[in-house]
Amino acid sequence: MSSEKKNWLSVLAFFIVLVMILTLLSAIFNVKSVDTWPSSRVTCGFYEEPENSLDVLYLGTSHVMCGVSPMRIWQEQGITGYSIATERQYMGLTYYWLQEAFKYQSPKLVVLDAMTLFAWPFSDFESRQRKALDYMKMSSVKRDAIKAICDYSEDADPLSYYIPFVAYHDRWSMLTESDFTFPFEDKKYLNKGFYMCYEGIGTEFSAPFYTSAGSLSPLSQATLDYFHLIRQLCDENGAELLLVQMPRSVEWTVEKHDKVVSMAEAYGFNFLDLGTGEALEDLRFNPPMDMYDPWHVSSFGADKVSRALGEYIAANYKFDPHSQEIIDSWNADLVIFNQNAEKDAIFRIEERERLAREAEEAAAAAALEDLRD
Amino acid sequence: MNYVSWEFLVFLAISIIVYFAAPNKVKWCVLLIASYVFYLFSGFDNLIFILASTCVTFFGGLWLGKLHETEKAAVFEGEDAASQKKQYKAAMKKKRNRAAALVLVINLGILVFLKYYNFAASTADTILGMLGLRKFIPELDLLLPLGISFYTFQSSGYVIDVCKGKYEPDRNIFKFALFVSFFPQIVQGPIGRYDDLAHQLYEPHKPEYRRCKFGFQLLIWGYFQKLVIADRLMLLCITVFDNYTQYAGFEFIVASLLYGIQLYCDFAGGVNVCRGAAEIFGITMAENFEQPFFATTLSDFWRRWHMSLGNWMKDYLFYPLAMSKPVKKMARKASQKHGLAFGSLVPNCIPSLVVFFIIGVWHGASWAYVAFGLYNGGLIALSVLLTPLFSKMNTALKVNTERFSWRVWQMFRTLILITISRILVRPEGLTEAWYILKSIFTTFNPWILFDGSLFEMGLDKLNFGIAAVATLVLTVVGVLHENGWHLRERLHEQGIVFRWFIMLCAILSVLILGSYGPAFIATEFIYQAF
Repeated sequence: MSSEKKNWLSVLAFFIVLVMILTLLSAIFNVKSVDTWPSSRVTCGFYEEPENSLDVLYLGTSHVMCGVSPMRIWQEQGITGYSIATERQYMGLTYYWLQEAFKYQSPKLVVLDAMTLFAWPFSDFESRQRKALDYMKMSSVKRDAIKAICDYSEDADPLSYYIPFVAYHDRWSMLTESDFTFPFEDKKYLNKGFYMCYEGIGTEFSAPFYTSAGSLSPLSQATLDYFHLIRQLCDENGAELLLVQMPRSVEWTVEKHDKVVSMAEAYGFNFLDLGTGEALEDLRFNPPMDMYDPWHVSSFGADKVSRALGEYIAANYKFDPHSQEIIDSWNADLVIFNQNAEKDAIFRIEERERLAREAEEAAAAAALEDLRD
Repeated sequence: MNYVSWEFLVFLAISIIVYFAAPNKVKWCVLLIASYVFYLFSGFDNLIFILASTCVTFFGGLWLGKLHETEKAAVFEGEDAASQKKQYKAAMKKKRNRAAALVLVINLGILVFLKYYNFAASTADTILGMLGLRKFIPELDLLLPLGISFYTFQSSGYVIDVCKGKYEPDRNIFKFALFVSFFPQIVQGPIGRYDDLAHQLYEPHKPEYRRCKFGFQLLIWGYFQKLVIADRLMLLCITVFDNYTQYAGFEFIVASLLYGIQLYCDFAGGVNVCRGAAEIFGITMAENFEQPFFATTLSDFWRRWHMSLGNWMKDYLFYPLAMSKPVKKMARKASQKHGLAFGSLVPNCIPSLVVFFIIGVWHGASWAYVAFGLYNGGLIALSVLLTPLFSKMNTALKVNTERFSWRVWQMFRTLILITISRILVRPEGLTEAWYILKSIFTTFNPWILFDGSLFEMGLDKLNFGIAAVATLVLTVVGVLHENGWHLRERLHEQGIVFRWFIMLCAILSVLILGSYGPAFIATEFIYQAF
């Protein structure tokens, strides 16, 4: 072989090594939401579920992410499910994630966050878009999602969605342990997409949860278009559609409720509103314990919401029985989930109490200082 | 198309592949098509100007060539054939000069009009206003085509050379169009010479490993200068100069020094990207910088900075001016009045003033750039006049000018002088520049260097550190080049593991530390505006 040919082969080898290093660096540099609002765990964990093992898919925003515990529903109703809800996952991204999900699962029921009907098709927060999209496997679905996001937002850089390293290369100064460990961990997510929130427990909510605003702004046509695409997708894949509204202390109104009810009648889907006054009474909802913040339920609240949702689903939908393998796998996961949940609850409550104590002490010290001055 | 964009890299890769895959006969056509496709990305409107300039220059060149041929073919007989020939040659030279002047007026006229009309209009209106007259000269919405300064100067140099008979005119308009529009250099130079560049463009080149590797290394070095250093320092410079009332004294000194580094890395980085890309094709473009921060005098600095423009000015403006009758007349008068020594300096001083005035306004259509040009030209002219005095002083004070410490002093002095000139043009205008200069000389606040204030000027500690380390790398490379090291050659001689290590570090430093991506605005090269 001539030396010129050898040289060119060494160039090829060099670029192969470079690409390998960049692939590794990309995995390390990519943003990982693994602790707080763990969208990365949620989306990666979905792909670890055995194919066609899920009865229900839950999609939507952070309200569903912290409000619906598929493990709790499995425990009480024997219905498998996974929540691919992520922060500010509006109707547009929900559509693409549902398309992606149908490639791996054939759920009989798709549960959507009703609140997303009243939002834009895509969030203005690029970080939330990326959290939802970065760990979706590359396919024509992801390409379509990227194109849709970039068409919607002028500032979006399509290349950075295809090659996240372009967006995250400057994270080198912010790398933490999880950046180096998460890419190589087992991605199975025992929570099945559920995020436990305890931090805000004890907060008092003065405003009534469910009120009339007097009027309702028109829904975004683009959002409606995506909603109809979702309905069509569900029809094509033999899945029924259920819209659910989580309890929240702000922004859920009588007018919005009525709107969704009328749409449900028109388009033939069910709507379970857990945000009305009556529903909250039925749930025996105690906001100081059951709400994390004005918009999200806490894990205590999620238990109540999931129970109600599970009961509703079991009463209204039929599912095929699962193989013993799936049942055993879910039951084994449930044991660990409950252990973790208990530990997590105790830890977070203790943490909250410790932080509250420290805050009180700091306030007292500051007051004393003021007196001295 | 921005050089700092993925689109450019993809475009370059495709152009390279197509070029090397194409048959030898049409390789130059690939370059021509690529150049025009590149140019079209800047807007269809821009194309009209470069096409016009190309056609005017090409046909002007043919016309000049025809005049040369006619002159050569003329036959003189008879007793006074010699004087007839002399007269004929003089007449033909006059004719050629007029033809060349017409072409230059058209080309440079387009540039001057597009670039300076609004400046002239607003200045004239200001004067009318000061005289109490009604302002009536409208400003126009003019577009400045991409690279017009560069390709106009390049074409003008060609016309002057053909006029002088330095070489035959190009007879293929498409090949000539390639010379004018070659895409790696169209944005910000270097300004090429026809006799150096054209044959390289037209000759086919094979994908030679060593040359392609060197070109790629130069490309990476250019991106390192631009993305890691220049665009990082730009954040600090924008913070300080765009909010100048919040800063004072040493803060301006730091910002001005860093602006100098930013400007150098931005320009040199861009040129190195161009030269690297051209080298991969097999085309060697002239160096445009020679470690300017090692300059010992202002003249030396301008000899090392934007060398292609400096050489162009020297060959087509400075020397013709210095040799022109009016300047020679002035020199004679000066000699008669103040002595031969003084008189001999006039052909240097006057052209220097003119050249730097033009360099100043070439950089921008504003009074700040006029001041910039006159400042540099004035100082250079003054230094020429005072050199004999300084030599006497050095001798009297027994200063050893061969010492390294003397050289360091000269470099420091030059750095101060050039930094002051940068302050004239970086802020919004001369008023702001004056505010900054006054603050530098009247506000004494060196504590800002130690109390953490440095990291509140747009760059945090980490990024300041990166810029510092990267500038150190730049300095080391500069020192090595200054001492005759050819780094790419030296690296080529090393073992494969070491070479790969250096290349991986270089590429990864650009990819990781570079200022690109959605978090950064795609900053265009500063000199692209020319």
